[in-house]
Amino acid sequence: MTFTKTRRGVLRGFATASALALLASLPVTQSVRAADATLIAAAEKEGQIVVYGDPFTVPLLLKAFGAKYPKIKVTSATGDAWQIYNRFVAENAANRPLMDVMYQAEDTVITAKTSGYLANFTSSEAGSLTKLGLPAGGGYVRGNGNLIMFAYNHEAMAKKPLPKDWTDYITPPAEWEGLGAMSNPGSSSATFATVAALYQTYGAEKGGAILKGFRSAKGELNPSMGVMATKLQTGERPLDFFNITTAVSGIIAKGAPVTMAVPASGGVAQFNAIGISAKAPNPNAARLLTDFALTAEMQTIFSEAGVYPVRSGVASPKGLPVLTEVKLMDLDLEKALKDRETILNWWATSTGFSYR
Amino acid sequence: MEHGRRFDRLDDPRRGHRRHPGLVPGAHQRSLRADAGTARDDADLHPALHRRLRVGLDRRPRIGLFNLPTKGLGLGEPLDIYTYAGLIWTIGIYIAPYVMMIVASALRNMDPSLEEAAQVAGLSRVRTMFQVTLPVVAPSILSGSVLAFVISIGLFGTPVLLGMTKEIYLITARIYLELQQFPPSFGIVAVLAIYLMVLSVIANLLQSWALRGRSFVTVTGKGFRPRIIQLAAGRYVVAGIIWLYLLLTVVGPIIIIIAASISTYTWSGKFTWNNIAFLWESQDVRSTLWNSLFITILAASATTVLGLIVSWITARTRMRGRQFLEHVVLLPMSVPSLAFALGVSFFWLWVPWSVYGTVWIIIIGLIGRYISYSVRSITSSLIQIHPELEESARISGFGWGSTMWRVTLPLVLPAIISSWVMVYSIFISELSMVLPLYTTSSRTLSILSFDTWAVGEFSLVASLSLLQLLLGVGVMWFVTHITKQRQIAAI
Repeated sequence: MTFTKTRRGVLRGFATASALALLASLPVTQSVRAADATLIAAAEKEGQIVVYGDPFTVPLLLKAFGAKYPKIKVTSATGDAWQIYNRFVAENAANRPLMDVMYQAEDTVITAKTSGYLANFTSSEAGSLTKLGLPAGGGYVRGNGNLIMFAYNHEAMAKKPLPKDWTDYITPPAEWEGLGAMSNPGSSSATFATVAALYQTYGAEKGGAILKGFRSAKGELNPSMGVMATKLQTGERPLDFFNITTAVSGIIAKGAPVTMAVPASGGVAQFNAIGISAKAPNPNAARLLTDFALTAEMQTIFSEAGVYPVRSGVASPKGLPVLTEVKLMDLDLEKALKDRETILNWWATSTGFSYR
Repeated sequence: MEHGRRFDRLDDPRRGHRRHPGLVPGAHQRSLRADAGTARDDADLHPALHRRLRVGLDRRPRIGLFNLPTKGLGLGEPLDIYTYAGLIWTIGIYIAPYVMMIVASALRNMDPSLEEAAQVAGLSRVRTMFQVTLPVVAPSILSGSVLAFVISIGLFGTPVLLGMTKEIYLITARIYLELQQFPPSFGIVAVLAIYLMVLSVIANLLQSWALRGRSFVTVTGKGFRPRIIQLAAGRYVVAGIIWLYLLLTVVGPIIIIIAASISTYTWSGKFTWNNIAFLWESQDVRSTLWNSLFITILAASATTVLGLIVSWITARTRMRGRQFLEHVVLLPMSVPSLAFALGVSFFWLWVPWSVYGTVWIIIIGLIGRYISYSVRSITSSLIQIHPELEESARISGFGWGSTMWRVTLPLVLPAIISSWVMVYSIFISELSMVLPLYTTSSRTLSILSFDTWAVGEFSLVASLSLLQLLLGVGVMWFVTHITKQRQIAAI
């Protein structure tokens, strides 16, 4: 067989290559669409879905989902992660399971998984996620991320030394006295993740010295990161031991004199995770919503709202460091949850604060 | 109490214009949140943030408006809101309007001939006040005091927010912290809640003991018209004191809220109308506003009606167990809203009727939690009315219903309206009770502002606060207007 290189042949070759390239992408798309069509029909037949979870991301998700699937009635309850989790547990205990999907802090989803409350599932969008989107243990999937790092009011701290690394707190400068704030790891998932990362990274002794140093500089305990963020922007407490991007990125975008900085040893990535209840009354709608949360469309909405996407190809929020590129402290959250009491008591002993 | 007395019976200049502002701390009790950030652990702090922002921003270290001038003069920072005194101040000005409403309705029902007789007998105005006026309205003063006490011990947002930073923990703060934990120890929460209920019962029993065997009837078959006390030259001094109080507790904080609502962020010094436009441009605001009004008006009306029934049973009948009924109704007063809401939630989970997850569970929860406020308000007024008025009507051939409708209700109408306005003003911004019970379809303005706070939109929260303030004050004005009787105006 011989091939003659004619212009037509070349063009035909290009056309064939283009068609093949298109076909290469089509099978996936078509199979997904075929699966979607079946799933959508089943979900619409169920006609409703109940989502519990994070007060920031869940409304965004449900607004977009409701617009795309208007035949499915959406109900949600959002709030404090552990409180919502306890509500879910109480409903299960009363044999009145209402929740289909849990979308909230990863530690609560892990707890639900290990307690046997979640269905084991794999999202059809799993292949499109970054390495951060898929937890090692499986059984659930991450929906979006947040970054925890240093935060300070750069106007109030203009003539004062700034923290560069966690270890700076072991012997804090005198100028930091009375300026710092942190929140309670017993109630805040983000705070627990950070404290656990310090424990796992530095160990009990060095990590404890960091916490003791924070307290020695008259750092105060605030009820929440939200309270800290307000004091940060007003300058009342201009040096947060750490804060989370969801709490601070919004005020930075509005021009507040606040800076977030990644510690030299690394920040902490904290995620909202998605789990489907083992007793979900609307399992198909639950699957559809979970897959939708991981689509490029929804992940882009998340990114535009200032939270980190977990899907490949979707840019990080403007003005924030790229999560996959930023230096992170290692955190084994599943292990930390097993050591939860130990870590909380270590924090309480080191800081002198009470967590409950 | 003194606040209420001054507002209602004195002829200081423009007293009519002071009733509404005087109630603003109550109407607007939780209508501004100062904090941005993750909402996961902020839920129940929101009401306190409203209050703290109204009264605390001027006394906060480094940024307090009252501290800035002294700091500039090198005199340090004399005022600190994160202290016992700060807690007392914040809670005090929050509760003052409720006490005022109870005492004011009693003062309006008081026959001035009692004071006139005292003055004819040679008593000065001051002695008349101490020896006649105050003893006559003692049930209302005590009722207001007990109400203030049990509300205070049940508050947890303010103690957590202002106390935690200095490790000042009250029982309610411990309850709050426990409910934030996993796994929660509901046993500890229950025990702590029982402590509060015991305190509440003791306060109520002390009140009953203090008033036992005494008559406080001031409204009899003899007609009277409420009299305004002439203050002569002292009127300007009194007016000055009252306006200073209003400036510190109402006007100043409202100015701060307005400034915040037109700022790009906190105190940026850059102004925008976008946050105000958000109020009518946002679909979220429209839907939550409707839910809030529906829940609030229905719950406030039901609470007032049920409160009237309980008050009437305890004050006007010899029904067995009526005292027990009153004590049971008053129990939830000192239970933190969040704990009570969780109790409501768990109870309805195990009941076959399906109000769980609907708007009705919120309404039921609000009624259960706050009916005691209504009972307190109406009972204190009802015991001032002599039964002879109702007896005369019955002798004249009126049935029970007609007597109730044409005699009793008109006489206690000021207290009924006060009660309705009081619970309405609480419900319109209630968060803690709603949070564990709401779903998408029953989301309220308070939830919306909480969610907005969670993402750091401080200025939007301020604009939502203004809306809640307008809803509170606007409805008060409307209720007053439709009664068309100044002497029975609730406010």
